[in-house]
Amino acid sequence: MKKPPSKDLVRRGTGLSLKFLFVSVLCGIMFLPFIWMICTAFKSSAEVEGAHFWPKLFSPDNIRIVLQMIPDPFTHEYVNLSLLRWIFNSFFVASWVTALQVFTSCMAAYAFSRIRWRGRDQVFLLYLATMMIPALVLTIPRFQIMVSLRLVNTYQGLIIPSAFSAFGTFMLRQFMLSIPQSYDEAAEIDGAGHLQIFLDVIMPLARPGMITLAIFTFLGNYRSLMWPLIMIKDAHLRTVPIGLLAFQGEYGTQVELLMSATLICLIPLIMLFIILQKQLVRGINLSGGVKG
Amino acid sequence: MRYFWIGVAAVLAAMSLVAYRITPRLADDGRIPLVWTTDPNPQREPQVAMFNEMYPHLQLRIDPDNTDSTRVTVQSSAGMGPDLIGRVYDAVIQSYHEAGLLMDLTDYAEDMGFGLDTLPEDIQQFVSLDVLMEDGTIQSRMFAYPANMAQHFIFYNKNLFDRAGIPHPPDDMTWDEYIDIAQKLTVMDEVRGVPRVFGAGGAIVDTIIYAHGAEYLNESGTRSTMDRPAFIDAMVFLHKLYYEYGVEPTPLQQAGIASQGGWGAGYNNWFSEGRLGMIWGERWRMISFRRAITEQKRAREIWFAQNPDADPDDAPEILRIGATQIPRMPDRPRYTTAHARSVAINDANPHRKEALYFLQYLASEPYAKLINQGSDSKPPNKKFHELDLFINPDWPGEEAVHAASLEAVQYGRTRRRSMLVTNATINHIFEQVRSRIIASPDMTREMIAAELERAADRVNLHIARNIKRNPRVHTIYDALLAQGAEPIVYNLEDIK
Amino acid sequence: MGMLWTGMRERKHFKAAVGFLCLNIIGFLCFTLGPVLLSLYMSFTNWTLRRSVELQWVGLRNYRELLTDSNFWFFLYNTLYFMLAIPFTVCASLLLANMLVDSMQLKRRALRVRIASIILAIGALNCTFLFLVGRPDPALILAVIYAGAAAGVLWGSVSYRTMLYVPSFASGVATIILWQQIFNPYHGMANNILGQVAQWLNLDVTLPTWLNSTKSLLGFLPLPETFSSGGFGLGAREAIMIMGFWMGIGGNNMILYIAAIANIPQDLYEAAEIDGASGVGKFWHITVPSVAPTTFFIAIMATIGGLQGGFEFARIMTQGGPAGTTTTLAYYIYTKGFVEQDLGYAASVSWVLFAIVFSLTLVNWKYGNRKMEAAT
Repeated sequence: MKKPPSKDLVRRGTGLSLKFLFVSVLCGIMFLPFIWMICTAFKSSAEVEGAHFWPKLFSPDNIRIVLQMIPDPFTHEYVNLSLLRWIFNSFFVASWVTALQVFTSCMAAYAFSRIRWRGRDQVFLLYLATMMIPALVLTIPRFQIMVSLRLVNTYQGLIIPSAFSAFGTFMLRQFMLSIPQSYDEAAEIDGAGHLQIFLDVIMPLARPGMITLAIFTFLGNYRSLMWPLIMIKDAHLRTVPIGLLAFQGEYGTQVELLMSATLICLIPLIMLFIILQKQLVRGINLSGGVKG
Repeated sequence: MRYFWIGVAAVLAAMSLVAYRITPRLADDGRIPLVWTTDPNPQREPQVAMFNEMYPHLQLRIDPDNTDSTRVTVQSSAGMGPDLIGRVYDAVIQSYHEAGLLMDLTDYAEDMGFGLDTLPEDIQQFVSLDVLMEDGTIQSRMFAYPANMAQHFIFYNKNLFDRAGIPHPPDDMTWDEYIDIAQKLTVMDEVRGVPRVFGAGGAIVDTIIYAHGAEYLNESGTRSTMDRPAFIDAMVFLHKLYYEYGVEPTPLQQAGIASQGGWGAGYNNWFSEGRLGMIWGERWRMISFRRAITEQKRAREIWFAQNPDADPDDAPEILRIGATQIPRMPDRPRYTTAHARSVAINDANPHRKEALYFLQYLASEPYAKLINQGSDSKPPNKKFHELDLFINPDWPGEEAVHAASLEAVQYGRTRRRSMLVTNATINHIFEQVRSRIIASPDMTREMIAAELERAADRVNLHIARNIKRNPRVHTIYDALLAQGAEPIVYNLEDIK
Repeated sequence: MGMLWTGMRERKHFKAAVGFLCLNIIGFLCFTLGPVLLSLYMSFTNWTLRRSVELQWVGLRNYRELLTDSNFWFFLYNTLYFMLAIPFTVCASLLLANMLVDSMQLKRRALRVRIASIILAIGALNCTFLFLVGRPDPALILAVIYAGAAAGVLWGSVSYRTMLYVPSFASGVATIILWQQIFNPYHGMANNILGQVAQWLNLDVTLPTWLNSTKSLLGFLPLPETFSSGGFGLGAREAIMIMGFWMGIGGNNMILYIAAIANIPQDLYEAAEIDGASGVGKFWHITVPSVAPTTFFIAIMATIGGLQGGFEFARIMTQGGPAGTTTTLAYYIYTKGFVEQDLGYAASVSWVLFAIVFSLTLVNWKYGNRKMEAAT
């Protein structure tokens, strides 16, 4: 028995509206913390204790205080933080790590997927096995190694250990395996060497995988807390997480300043998100395999 | 793809260049650099400037970001520790020594004018450690010199007392009187359920332990005494201070107060703002109180300019400070916790000899004058502990505070140390108990006793393991036994 | 001749492989394999940063000591307790994904624009009114909801996926600091809202004190006293789990599920519809079994992540407190290694952690594979 189309349409319409309503309300709830943060960032210190969101007395001074444009009115001193420096450091370290990791992983993945050599699968298995080991196991000896290399408290010390990754190699290898063998055979017949095939044939084809790896590497390093916490000594090397943590330790009771600084630190991340959102939300395949 | 990678390389190179350019470098002017890890208290600036003036071949600067002992130890192990380790407290001096970071000062101190005899007795114990020498004897050696010292006493806000109509605290206060006064001062905020004005705050656990005749260790340092009745009494009393008498802000109540002002926030500001009646501390609190008073004077002037005809009683108040000694138990002498923010020389760094000049400077008159006038607790050299020297003509009316600070020296007491286990380890174990006591409103005496028993057992196990595993500690233990020390709790044969 | 040729060719390939691999292999040896072996070695020694203690091979001592260390068991319990939130987060992600998988777009563009403008107009009016009446807070929240609805009508479910992804993308020190303030018992958002709801419902309840409380939802269990069970209620651990839920629900898991659901052949649903299956029935009997491989993958990743997790929030929000209730094994390793400088012991804890991760993954693998075979 077939229902009349109009009734079906009404039913579906109601269902859809309810869905819209539900998801919109959910989005509202998910954004509550951010709204609260923005509101608190613009409250005066006397108002922070209040239960309301919207600041009765809008005070943009907090932002100027944490940007060191004006001194803290209570101490007449500039607050001890350099947000822009942290953001630069974070971007600097994360960019280097991302570029190096994508590049070295790409090369290794090529060797593991397009070249046949004896012992290949055994070496690859070793790579795979180490992926199971928690990063925590590695932190302590890595620090000892950095000590003996005299790289503690340097940019290099932050960049180099993260520049090589078994995960990236694994992911890109899976990706490259899906590229038909005929492409490089054709290139080989044309007399191309491995380097040429790698640069002109495989790399362009592996681009989606490289982009995914790049995004995750960049984000992971931008956020990373433990390694810089152990490695960094000087204030001018601080990345955003370390800087914010130190600021929280020093000004933790000044909620409005803390929220202003947090807000500013989130802005570059949100901008990055706006740029990357298509890649993130639509096409990511985390399993490291090939897109279907 | 090649061009893409060339582009990436170019961007990275450009960023590296920027990073290189904005990396600060020390001007190389032939002076020997010295780094001192210490807090960025506003008093540091003149102290450093004066040193650099007095010793022109040296260049001292402070490092406020790496003061905690974890960072100092880890960084020193990486060969980048400071020259002057600036916050050598009781809890860490043994750990630093175990880490091999402390230079033995005994042979230099006397000749350079910063010998032990310049310090009060309690502080002498603070900067010395008993160590096993190469010849197998145990000797007391000096490893640090204080940048300033503190024997805690109590500040009170006279305005709050007068408003509540309570007489000021007596000079010889007992704990009962203290609790009574603090309760009278407390004003509840009925809406939020947190006191708007706290009666008192900042009580020091060690002082409470001493007040009950308890200690963390037995006399020879071979056993933990945290499970003894006197210690349990002290902890039960601590719990009551928070949850029965309500005269100490609980962690929860503290979270309820957002405060203003960056450095030294928290209790100092609550006190200045009139939200705390009595506060434990030393003269260093005066640094922020003075700042608050300056601020309040300005606010008052502005108020008078705006309301020329108003009643002066309605104008914003200016903080008036009184001072008295730490309370004592009726049947026991008064003890207060002695504390010294000491400086030690990093044994691993190249400029050890030059760093000695800094300790010499700490014992000198110009430095003592800076401390005295800036009210940064008390200078280390007891030669300069005099009321006349403490008084700053710009800040009249502080005599009571300075006098209390001087009087407190005689009550000062430092914690016992064991050669078999560090106080850092004991603290670490004790802190778990303390935090649980403070976080749990409904803890009974039995529960506290059980916690302490476990803690004492852990310390005792630590002691036994140290002896068993470290031949050096075993030698010390044998020597202690020969001196008639109480044997440890555990049987060494049972320890693996 | 042929043999020689193959040999030459093989050697040539080997050389090329070495060329391509050398960078990565050196890094791998120095920063992965080397540290792994070093840490294994460390766990059998009394390695420390204290120079007065000589380096000694101590055999299994660290491991033996660990088994009798009540702190280790307590922190393992904490770690596992935090992992109880994982199934809920994953289920919520799946439900959301199921909801957001179709594009939710009306066919005619003009209609979309018209409806979106109507929603925006109503929203603007509504919010302005509330604002003028002096109730800015509900106005603010409603504004977000209206804007979300308008974006949803205009661009379909993609806009929702994007919005729900933001918390997971922004997660890190900044958001953890934000949540720390949200859970402040007096001026934090959580209790502000709960307090207002309680007032509205005329309830007289004591609000939870979140990060200051040792209570937990399993607090009624007769746990050993060293596990500091603070009784039944919402405490620090629950606060952190709520934060984790917020960060995790709309993140990569949801995206993975959307991809998986989109790949389910449509005729399966049509066949079910003919059989008269309801929406719930279709979800339960078709969607859930079909996305089993994805669930399996997520479960493995979440188990690994959960067991190793907890360092960041412990370091930032709670310092492992109150009374150790939010210390996980990861934070324990950090404090043992770097605060107490007992690197050998810390290494042994991390290897025990590895053993747990490995065996759980193995169980997951076996059980998950079997389940998947049964499903297909």
